Amino acid sequence: MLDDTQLEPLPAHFGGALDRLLATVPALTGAVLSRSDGFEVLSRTRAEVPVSRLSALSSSMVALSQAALREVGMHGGGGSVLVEGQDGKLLLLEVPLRGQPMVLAAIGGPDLITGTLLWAARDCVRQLIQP
Amino acid sequence: MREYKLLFAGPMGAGKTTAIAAISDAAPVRTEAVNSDRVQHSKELTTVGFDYGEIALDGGDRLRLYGMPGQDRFDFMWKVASEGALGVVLLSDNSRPEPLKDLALYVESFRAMAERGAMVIGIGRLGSGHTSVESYTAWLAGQGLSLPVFTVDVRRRDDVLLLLDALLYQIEAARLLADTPHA
Amino acid sequence: MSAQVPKARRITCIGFDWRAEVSLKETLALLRGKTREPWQYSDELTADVVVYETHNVLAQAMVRRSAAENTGRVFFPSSSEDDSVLTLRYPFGASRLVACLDSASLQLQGRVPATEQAEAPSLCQRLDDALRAPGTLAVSIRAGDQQGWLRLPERELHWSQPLGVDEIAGLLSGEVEVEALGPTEGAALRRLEAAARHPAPAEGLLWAIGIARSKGSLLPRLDIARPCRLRRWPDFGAIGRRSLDIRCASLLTQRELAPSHLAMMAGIPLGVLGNFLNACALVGVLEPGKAQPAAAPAPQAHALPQESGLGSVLRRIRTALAIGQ
Repeated sequence: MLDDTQLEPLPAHFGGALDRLLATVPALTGAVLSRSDGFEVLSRTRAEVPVSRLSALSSSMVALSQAALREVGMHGGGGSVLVEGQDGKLLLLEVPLRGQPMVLAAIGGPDLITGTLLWAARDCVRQLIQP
Repeated sequence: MREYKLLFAGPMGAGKTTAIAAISDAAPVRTEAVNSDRVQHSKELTTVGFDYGEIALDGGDRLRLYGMPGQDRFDFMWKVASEGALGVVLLSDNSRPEPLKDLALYVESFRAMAERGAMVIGIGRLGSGHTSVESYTAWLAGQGLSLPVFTVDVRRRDDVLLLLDALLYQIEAARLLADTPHA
Repeated sequence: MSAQVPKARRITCIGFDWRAEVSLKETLALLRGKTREPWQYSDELTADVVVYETHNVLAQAMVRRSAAENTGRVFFPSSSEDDSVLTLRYPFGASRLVACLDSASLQLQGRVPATEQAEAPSLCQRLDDALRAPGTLAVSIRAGDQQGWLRLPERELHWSQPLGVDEIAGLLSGEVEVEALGPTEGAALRRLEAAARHPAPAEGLLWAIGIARSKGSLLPRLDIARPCRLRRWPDFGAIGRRSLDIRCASLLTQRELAPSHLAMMAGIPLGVLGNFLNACALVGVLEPGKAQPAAAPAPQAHALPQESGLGSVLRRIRTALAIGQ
């Protein structure tokens, strides 16, 4: 990972954006912001979440989904990946920050409504890009 | 149509993406992201999903080539891809500080293939480091493994083919010997 | 090995598959009496005529070296963009081979055939003897304007100049003096230390000598009936990557086998394996197996098992990549 000295200081509004996401959607277990190459940047969790593993997985899954879209001739950023299981949902959203793209992962239980999750997470991405 | 797969693994920057591009029938699918780990390697982009190339075989079958992400944070991908793989090409970057320590990580992660001989090691940038080819083979011998080790420049297609040639012979020899009782 | 024909000129080939070597030997035998001069096949790169695969790195270096030193050796490439150049492509056609040999005879006219002295040991054997002589501290190697020495027991090689493909080509195609230096030759050793300071990879050089300077005969200390194995993969170096060697090394690192058995399993004539085994022995990776010498070719003939599913896949991968057979 980059040394702290080399790293741009984390924009102050990142923490606020994640806090508001969790406040808006109480059914969320946590939200993790990572660089697109899989390093954890920031997280807010209500339960135990393996943050660094999730960061790496998120970057792989988003990169694979982008590759799949490219193969079928669909280009452009701003994509998302939704994974659903019996016990809950995992939503991954690209955060197209210039210079250092990121990925937002939002984790929720089975009762979480997909539409609510998508709307709130996209709003969070908007706040991350335009404070 | 049947499909077979070979893996390319090794540390970040060892040339896995380049090696696959050198032999794939069509331009490989890449899943690269901006590299923020410039301490590990200075390159701009790094593989975070996998690289994918393919080679058409007679009879309509297909050989799939998967390049694994180098950093060990992505070891889940290594496990997923190992399922049913014919073998693995491990690429080493000899200019890194401890190439044998790198090697240990990948040999351990792909241990099942190493033990059945389905692994070959290509050392890149040999002259930029202080670890000799002999040190690699001696380290492997210490692990109870005897695997082909070659110095390569994966930008050269012939060098990548050398690695595949050796890997195929390794797999073939293991099969032949399994069919043959000891003398 | 083939019988010595008096005053026969020698021809060799490099960079081709082992089948080309066998084919060249067989075609030469058929052509006996049909060429201006008698010819025989040689395993050594010191031959009068060298047929080479155009893309082979060692061959390219040898051609450069030969031109620079004006050795008078005649080269035939496997292909050329220049239509006026006589080429010899594998599979070698008899009439084209006759044309090439007769053309070579004209070019070599007046030069004494560089006949191989059957009784003189090969460079591989001289070097092997020197490396194994009791009390040897170093082995000096001298060839033309270059020289070097191997420090024992570490086998560290030092050379008078950076040892590249061109230098190795020169060494493989000319006269080479080898001398074992013991404790009493301190002065000679110090002179060598002063004259040859460039560290060089020893194993690649030894491998190349085993492959190219064995005169096709197995080192006397090896026995085709005695099982042996490779304790590790050799470092073939930049120029010694023959498919045959990779195939045999795969087998011998995974199981101990008598050379006769190895030949059967690899599907390669025993006569072609000598150089591989010599090179393995010279670099020090060949070790005796634990099993007793086999009286007859050991296990039952599994040499050509019915092609299994996996065998078919491997073959088709090779076909797709145009490698190996």
